[in-house]
Amino acid sequence: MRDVYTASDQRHKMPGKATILVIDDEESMRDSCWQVLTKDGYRTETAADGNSGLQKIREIKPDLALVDLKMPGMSGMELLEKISDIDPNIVSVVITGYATIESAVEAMKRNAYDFLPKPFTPDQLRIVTKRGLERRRLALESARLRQEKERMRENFVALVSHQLRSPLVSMRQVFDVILEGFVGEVASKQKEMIEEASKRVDELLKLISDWLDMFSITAGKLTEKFGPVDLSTVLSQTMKLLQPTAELKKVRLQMQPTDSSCLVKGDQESLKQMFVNLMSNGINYNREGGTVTVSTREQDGYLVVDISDTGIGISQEDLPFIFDTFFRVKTKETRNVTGSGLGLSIAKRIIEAHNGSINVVSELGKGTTFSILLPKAKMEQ
Amino acid sequence: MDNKAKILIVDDDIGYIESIRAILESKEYIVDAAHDRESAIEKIRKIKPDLILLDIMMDRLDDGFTICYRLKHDPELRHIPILTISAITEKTGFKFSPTTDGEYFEADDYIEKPVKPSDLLKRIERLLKG
Repeated sequence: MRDVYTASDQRHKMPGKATILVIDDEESMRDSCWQVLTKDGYRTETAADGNSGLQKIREIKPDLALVDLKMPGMSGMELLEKISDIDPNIVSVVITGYATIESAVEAMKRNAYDFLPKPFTPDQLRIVTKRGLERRRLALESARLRQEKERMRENFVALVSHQLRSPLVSMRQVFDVILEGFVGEVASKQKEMIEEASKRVDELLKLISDWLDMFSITAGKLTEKFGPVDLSTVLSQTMKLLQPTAELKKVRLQMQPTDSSCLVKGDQESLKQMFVNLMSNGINYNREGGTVTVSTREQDGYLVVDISDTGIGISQEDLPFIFDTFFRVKTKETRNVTGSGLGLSIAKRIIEAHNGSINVVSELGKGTTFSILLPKAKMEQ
Repeated sequence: MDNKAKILIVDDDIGYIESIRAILESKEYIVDAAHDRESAIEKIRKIKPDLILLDIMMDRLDDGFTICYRLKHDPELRHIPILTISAITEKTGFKFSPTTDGEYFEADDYIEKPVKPSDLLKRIERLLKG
């Protein structure tokens, strides 16, 4: 047990020797801790009071600090807080002669990791030290992983936008130039096929853009843009936007008049996107001559928007999965509807980012109603 | 002396350059192209184009910004209008515009890929009239 850095004990090894600072006003305590820990291979330093302890913390940046709770001058409790201010990753272990539950709880509240009641044996000191260092290793490791993950996410988004979008956009540009006759006459059958290819490229671009949306919503960046939003404006804008699609599908898009105030706190653009996704589903999964009806009402401090269609409906088996990413209902009727399978998952994420929720009721062959609940904004007047 | 304007396209995507070239040549502009940052700057000094169509992400993601910055801080070249064309959408988090990014992005106009040929031609005409 002399050397903690033996081959069989590699998992405790930090980059270089672990550094431990002992802060205690009793000289005998400092000396005995120093002896045990130095023998075990740690780089050990000592300080006799709070102030010199803090100075050493800044100088040597220890992995672990053993702190006596009862010292003249700065108290151990105060010291714990200051250590955590300097670097919250330094693991603090409290040593004390008056080991009471209260003082233990108090110390833990101030970010102490463990507790060592006096008198203790060298083995007890070793165990607590080892455990504390292991804790630090894990904390640092998980912080590193979190960072790594964030970096990968950012790189991935950049990669997706540059490497995947660029060639598609370039293809799309070539099609446009051909279709508009910039490189010579195009026969009508050729035109038709190029238009089809161009449409497929657009679908792929839409998929990538939806995917990027998923990333930006999960990243929690949405809340930064929150402000007061009047939903009735957003709803009528959305309906105007989708009117041409509805006409093409011979579906009637209608809004029921409302007298309730439609003010919510949120991000206008993403709320609009959410309604676009839901309403265009209502249109696309409808039948000729069908309707999509939008209405609003209030319920327990929530604003509820109901979007009802008279479309093909969703079966009870499919219903639990419709908000899953990339899930798409596969039936005869949906074969001609294109989509990424992300529309509803994006809508749900947007709603949840607004502290709201979404419910769905559907009957096969009759239609579907989505109800979106958003917390009402408080009138500040 | 030829009255037709000289336009330099800076883009690392050769296929893309060809499609833009077809649009520009339909209006009899004189078109030249460069594919990376250094050759772009070299060519700009040599041929002194009347307008530059500039892609943003090339070898490095910010090549377009660098070119833009260098041109707009060069007294001999800063008068050349720059129309940036890029496939970056605001979704990537690379939000930028001549108004928000000030001296780091002093492009004269900005257009998103894929461009509508008529829109591109209209903007070019406007910038050339300056």
